[in-house]
Amino acid sequence: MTILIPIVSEFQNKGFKQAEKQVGVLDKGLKRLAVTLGTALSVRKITQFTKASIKAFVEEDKAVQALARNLENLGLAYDVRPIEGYIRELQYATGVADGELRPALQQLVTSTKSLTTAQELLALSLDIAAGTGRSLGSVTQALGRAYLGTNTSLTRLNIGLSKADLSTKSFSEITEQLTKQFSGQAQRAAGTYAGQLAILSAAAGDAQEILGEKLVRSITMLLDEDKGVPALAGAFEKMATDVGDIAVGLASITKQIKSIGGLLPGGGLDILAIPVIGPYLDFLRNRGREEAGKAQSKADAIARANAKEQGMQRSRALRVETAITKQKKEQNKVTGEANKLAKAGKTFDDELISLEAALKNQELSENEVIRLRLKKALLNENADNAEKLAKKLAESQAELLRLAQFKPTDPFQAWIDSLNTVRNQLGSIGAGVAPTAPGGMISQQPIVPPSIVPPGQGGYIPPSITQEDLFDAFGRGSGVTAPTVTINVTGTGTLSDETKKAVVDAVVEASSQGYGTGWFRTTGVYAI
Amino acid sequence: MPIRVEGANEVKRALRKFDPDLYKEMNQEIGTALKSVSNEAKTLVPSSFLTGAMDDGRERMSRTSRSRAFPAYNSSTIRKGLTYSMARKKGNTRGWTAAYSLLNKSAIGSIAEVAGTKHPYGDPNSKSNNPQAGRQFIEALNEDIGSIKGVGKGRGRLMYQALNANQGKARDAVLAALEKAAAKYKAATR
Repeated sequence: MTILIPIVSEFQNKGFKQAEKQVGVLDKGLKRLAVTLGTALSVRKITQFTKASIKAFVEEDKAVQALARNLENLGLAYDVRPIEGYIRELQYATGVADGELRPALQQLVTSTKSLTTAQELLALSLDIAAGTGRSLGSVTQALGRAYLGTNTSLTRLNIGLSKADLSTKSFSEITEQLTKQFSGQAQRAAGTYAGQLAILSAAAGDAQEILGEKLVRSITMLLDEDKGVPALAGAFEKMATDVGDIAVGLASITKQIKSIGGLLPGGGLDILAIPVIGPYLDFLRNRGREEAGKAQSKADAIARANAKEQGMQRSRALRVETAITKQKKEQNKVTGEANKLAKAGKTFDDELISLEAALKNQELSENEVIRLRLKKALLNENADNAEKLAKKLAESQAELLRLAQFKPTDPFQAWIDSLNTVRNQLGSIGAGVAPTAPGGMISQQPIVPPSIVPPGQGGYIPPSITQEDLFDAFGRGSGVTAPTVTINVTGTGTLSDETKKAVVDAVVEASSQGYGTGWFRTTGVYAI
Repeated sequence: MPIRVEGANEVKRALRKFDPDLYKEMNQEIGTALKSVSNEAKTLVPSSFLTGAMDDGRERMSRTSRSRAFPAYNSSTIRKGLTYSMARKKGNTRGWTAAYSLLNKSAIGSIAEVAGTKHPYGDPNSKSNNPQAGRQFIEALNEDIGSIKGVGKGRGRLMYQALNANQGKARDAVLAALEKAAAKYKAATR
């Protein structure tokens, strides 16, 4: 920080002079700007208002046409004028602009396909919107979706509906609950200052739209004469400027009239009472009314013609629809009968019958039962069951494969060893035995039949088996009784093959039935 | 009170451009007059302050958020900062510029110059741990350097006291040098 103590100081007025000069320039500029703005602003504002009026009318007309088209497409092609009247009344009752009401109604009509239901839901939407502070568009969208079964949008409105309510209650129950909850909200909101201002604003908007309509009509009239929009565009600007100037002039005259006490005792102002200009204005107004009346008559005639045409179209569409419905019914009847026949045919299906019969068999393995059931499911076109059975079959196949790969030890090897021992013993006593196969198994080669030698030539005559012999062999408590089979072969020569086979079969059968058998021979070379 | 003149800067500009010798002569006379005041101010600076408690040469660390700590007392620093300037200074908001000025440049010199001019007994809103610190510091300055001299905003202990003691002699000398140089210039250019 430096402390500076001036000893000699000088006043520098250069900067001040420059500042004064600049301020003077600025002042002059501001004055010019004010003059320019003063003259230009009023005309510009009027031009802007005119454009805004036309824009408002065009947008409203577009919305009206869209609603009418929507109703027509949905088969609800009534005359739009009553609906417009309903919207206008609703606008003045609630303060919600028709620009919001019309799309809302259109959306609800699209969802419900019924004008009456849409109007009821619109009234409910207005109550909910007034009660929650949400926009009418969001509420109508949520209600429209809920009508079609999607309740998610209603939860987002936070209007006291739980998920349980939305999942368990029907749409009518939900609307009933909402009606109880928000009834009268829109009317109450319209009664507030804000509501009254909204109604006034809506009325002003309507006035602007009406003005726009008149302007468009005047432009249309001019178009007929000039046959060209570009030429009209410049003329329109000029017209707006002239209208603006006229308005300024009227305001000036009005102000002067007011200063001398006004023209009407009630304090109001009748511009038609203005001297000199008043009659001209009256003439222009009457001319405008005549034109408006003609246009209205023309519009009414067009509307009547349209209504008639629409009525005829509706009748035609109804007839076509009735015919289509009848055709559909017949088609459904035919389809139903075909289904019944197919079902009956399945009852007598041979393949299914054989499958059912096969399934009755108790001796089927588990894998086979699964296969049969899968085939039955496929024939019955039961996809779920077929999938389950296919899975089960795959598991069964895997189990079988695992069993196939299992190699157990041979439990009959001991038997083969015993038989081989018997063969060896028989061989040791000179009996004829079959040769042993390479694997230790008895060969399938037929045993060499013994040549039974008759008695007296060295043959063996087996004695009869007594009970005592069996007791010796099996014990007294075994319960075995001695058979009474006694085969005595006598004679000379060789026995025939049939005889030998009969002997062997008899012995084998007796042995297989549990009887003790024995071979005894007196002489002979071969034995069985 | 500073003297307000018109045309001083024009004289300086003209001399510098058209008669440098005369300009140097004028500056020498003015410098002598201003130097007498600054030298007188330097004599008022004590070699130590508060019996050396603030004269140990080390900078105190700031305990607050200030980026710069309270400066240590240093008599040579203060003397070095007591000087003058013959350059035209930037004008104030009312359009006045200093053609010649006396300066107290150092931080501790500025503190010694004006401490107590606003609150003779310390700032009542001081946040110091010692509420009497301001008053004690001002009393110590008054005792070691001298009491505040001057009138209105032109009050202080060093440069202001010296200027007050000069009784306007330096100012008159500056004006005389300016008039003399202007007259010489006019005579030369006539």
